[in-house]
Amino acid sequence: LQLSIRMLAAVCLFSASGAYCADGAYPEPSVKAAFLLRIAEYVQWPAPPAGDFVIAVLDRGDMADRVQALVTRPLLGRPVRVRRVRTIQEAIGAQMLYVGNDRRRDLRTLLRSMPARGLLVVSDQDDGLAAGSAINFLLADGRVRFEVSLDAARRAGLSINADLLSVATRVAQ
Amino acid sequence: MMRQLVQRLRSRIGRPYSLRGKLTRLIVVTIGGTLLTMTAALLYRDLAQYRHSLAADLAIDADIMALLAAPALDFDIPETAQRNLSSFRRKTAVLAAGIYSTDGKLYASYVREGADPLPAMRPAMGPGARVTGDVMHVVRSIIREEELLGTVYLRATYDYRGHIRAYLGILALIMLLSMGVALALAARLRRRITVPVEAFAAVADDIVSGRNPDRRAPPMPLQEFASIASAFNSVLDESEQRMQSLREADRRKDDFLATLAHELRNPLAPIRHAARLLQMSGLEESQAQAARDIISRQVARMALLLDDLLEVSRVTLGRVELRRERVSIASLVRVAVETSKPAIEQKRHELAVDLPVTGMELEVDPLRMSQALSNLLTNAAKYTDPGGRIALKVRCEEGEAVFTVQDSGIGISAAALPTLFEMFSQVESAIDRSEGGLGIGLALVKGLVRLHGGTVHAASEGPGKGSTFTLRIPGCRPEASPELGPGGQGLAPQGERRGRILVVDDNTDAASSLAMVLRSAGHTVLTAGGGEEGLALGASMHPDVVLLDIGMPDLNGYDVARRMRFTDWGRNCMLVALTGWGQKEDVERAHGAGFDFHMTKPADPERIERLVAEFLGSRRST
Repeated sequence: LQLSIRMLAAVCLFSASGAYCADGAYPEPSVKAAFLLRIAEYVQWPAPPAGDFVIAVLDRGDMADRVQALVTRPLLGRPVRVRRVRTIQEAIGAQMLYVGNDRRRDLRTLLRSMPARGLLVVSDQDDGLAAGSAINFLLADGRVRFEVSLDAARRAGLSINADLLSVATRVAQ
Repeated sequence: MMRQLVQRLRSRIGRPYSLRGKLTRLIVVTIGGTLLTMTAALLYRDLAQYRHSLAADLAIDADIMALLAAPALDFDIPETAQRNLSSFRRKTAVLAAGIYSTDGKLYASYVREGADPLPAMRPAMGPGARVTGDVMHVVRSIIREEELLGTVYLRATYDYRGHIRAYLGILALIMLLSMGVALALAARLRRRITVPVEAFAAVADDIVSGRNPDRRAPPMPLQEFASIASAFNSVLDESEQRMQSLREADRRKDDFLATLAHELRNPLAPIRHAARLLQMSGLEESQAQAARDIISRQVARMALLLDDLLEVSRVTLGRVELRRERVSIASLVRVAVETSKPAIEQKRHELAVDLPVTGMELEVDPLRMSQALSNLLTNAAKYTDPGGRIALKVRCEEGEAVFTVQDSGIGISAAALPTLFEMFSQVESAIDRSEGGLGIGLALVKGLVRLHGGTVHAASEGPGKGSTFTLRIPGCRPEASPELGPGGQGLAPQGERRGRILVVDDNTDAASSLAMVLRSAGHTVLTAGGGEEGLALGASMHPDVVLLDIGMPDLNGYDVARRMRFTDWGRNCMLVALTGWGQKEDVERAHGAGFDFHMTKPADPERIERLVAEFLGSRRST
C-alpha cells in the first residue's frame, strides 16, 4: 500500500504538468510530506543519528501519518521514524522538525529557546525563514515550492546540496 | 573543331610512350595514388574519431544535464529543467535537448532556432549514442539514489560532410604542393636521364638512317647509361671493323675472280693455236710435236690451277685428313726442290740448299708437307726477277723443324704483310707479272702448315728487298731407321716402276690418252669402256693398278671397285678413283667402296705415274 502511494506521488511529481497535482488530485499536504522526505536526501548532517532517523512533526493535522505513509527506505542508513510532538522540547534529539502553519505564533520564540545544532527545521509559514527555519514551504501558482535559508542551515551545522538550491524558489543568505 | 580534337587525341594514343611522359605519369600516379590512399585511411580514422569524441562529448553533456535535472524532477520544477537545458545555447553543435519523465512524456526541452522540434514521446532508443545521417542522438538516464527519474535526450549535428570537405581541401592543397615539388624534381631528373637518352637516340637515329654513320654515343652522366653507351660504341666499332674486313674480303674475291678468269684464259690461246696447227695438213713432225707439247703443257698448267683451287678450299676449311708417317727431312726437301725445279730453272735462278740436318725426321703427311715447301720455293721463283737468288735453309731448333726460304725478289710492302696468307691475296704489283697465279699458294701453305700444328711467317724489308718465309713444324727428331719407308713419291727407284695398269672410263678419249701417257712411261696398259668390260679385262690381265672412272653408264665406279675387291686379282691391287668431284664426302665414299686413292679429273698423268711408281716400289720392297 505504501509503495502504491509513493508511486502515485511519483507520477504526480514527474508528470509534465504540475497543474495536475495542484488541481487537487493529490492534496497539498501529501506533496509536502513527499517533499519532506526528499529534502532529507539533499542535506548533510554533522553527525549520523545515534538511533533511528527521527522526523518530529509539530502539527495539528495528519502530516505525521502522511509522511510515515510515504517512507519506503532508510535515511542516512537509519530506519525512519516519524514522531508527532506537542511541544518543541519533544523534538530534541530528532533530525528534522516540521512545524505546520497553525503554530505560527510560537515559531520564533520556540526556535530561539531551542538548541539548533543538528536539527533541520522545515516550516510551513508565511515568513518561516525570518522566524529562523532553514527551509520553508510556500505556494506559487498553486504548486508547492520552498525557500532555503543558508544562514539557518549553517547555524544548525547542516550543509545543503547545491542541487536543492537550484530548485529552491528563493535562497536567503 | 571537335573532330580535330578527337583526331589529335587518337594520334596521341597511338604514339609510343616517351620516357619523359612515362616519368611524369609515373610520378603523378605514384604521388596521387599514395596521397589518395593515405587520405582515405586518415579520413576514415578521423571520422571514426570524430564520431567517437562527439559521442563522448555529448555523453558528458548529457550526464551533467542528468545531474542538474535530477532535483528539478525530484521536486517537479520543469522551469529549472528548462533553464538547465537552455545552457546548450552556447554549444552550437547541439540542435535540441530534452528531458523526458519516466512515463516517456517530454518534460522540458530546448530547441535551437530553426531546428526540428523534439518528439512529444521519448525516442525509442536505449542509453548511448546513435547516428542517423548527419545527426547524432544521445540518450542518458537520470538516476538518483538508484531511482530512475527520467531521460535526457540530445540531438546534435554530426557534420561528417564538413569534415570530409575540410579533408579534401587539405588533400588538394598537399597534392598541389607535392605534385609541384615532384614535377620540379622530375624535370631535374629528366635533364639527367631523358636528355642524355634523347641525345643517344639521336645518335642512333643518325647512324641507322645513314646520315652520319661515324657518330658515336656521347659520354653519359649515369653509370648505367655510360656502360650502355660504351657497349653501343664498341658494337659499332666492331661492326664497322667487320664491315671493313668484309669489304676487304669482297674486294679480294673480286680480284681473285678476275685473276682466275685471266689465268684460266691464258692457257687457252696456246692450246687453240696448237690445235689449229694440228688440224692443218702437211704438218712436219717437229711442228706437230711442238704443238702437242704446247697442249700438254698448258693443260697441265690448267689442271694444276684447278687442283690448287680445290685443294685450297679443302685445306683452309680443314677438310683434309693428313696421312702422317715418319719422313726424313732430307727427302721432303728433295721432293720439294724437284717439284719446283722447272719454275726455278725457267727463270735461271740460283738455288742454294742448306741442309745440315741429316738423319732427322718429322711425322707428317709427306705429300702435303713437300707441297707446302715447294709452294714456297715456286712462289720465290715467281716473284723474283730472272737470275735471282733463292736460298732454302733447314734447321732443327728446340724440337721444331725450321724451313727458311729466302729470295732476292720484289719483296712485300708492310701493308700487304698482314693479309699475305689470306685467301685470294696477291701482291698487287705482281698481278701484271707473266707468272700470274691465283694468289692462293700462300693460303694453301698456311692451311697445310696449320694442319700439321706448325706456323708460317713472312718477313720483308720492303718492296725490292726480297722476302723471307719461315716455316716451323713441331716434332723434329732423329730418324729411327733412315733407310726404311717410302720417304716420298719421287724417291721410288727408277728401274722398278713398270707395272700392269687397267684404265676403265666410258670416255674413250680420256681413257686412251691416259693409256698412251702411261705406256710411254713403260707400263703395260689396257683400257675398258665400261664397268663390266673392266671386270672381264681385269680377270684376264691381273693388273697392279686400276684407274677407275666413277660416273659410267652401265656400272658405277664404286660398284666396280667393290666387286673387284672380291676377286683374287683385285684384292691387293691399287684402285684409284677418277671423279669430277673433289669434296670430302666423295673421297670418303671412294674409300668406303675400297679405293686406295681418289683423284679429281682431269687426272695429272705425272701424278698418276708417281702414285703407280710409289705403289709398285712399296710392293716390291715388302
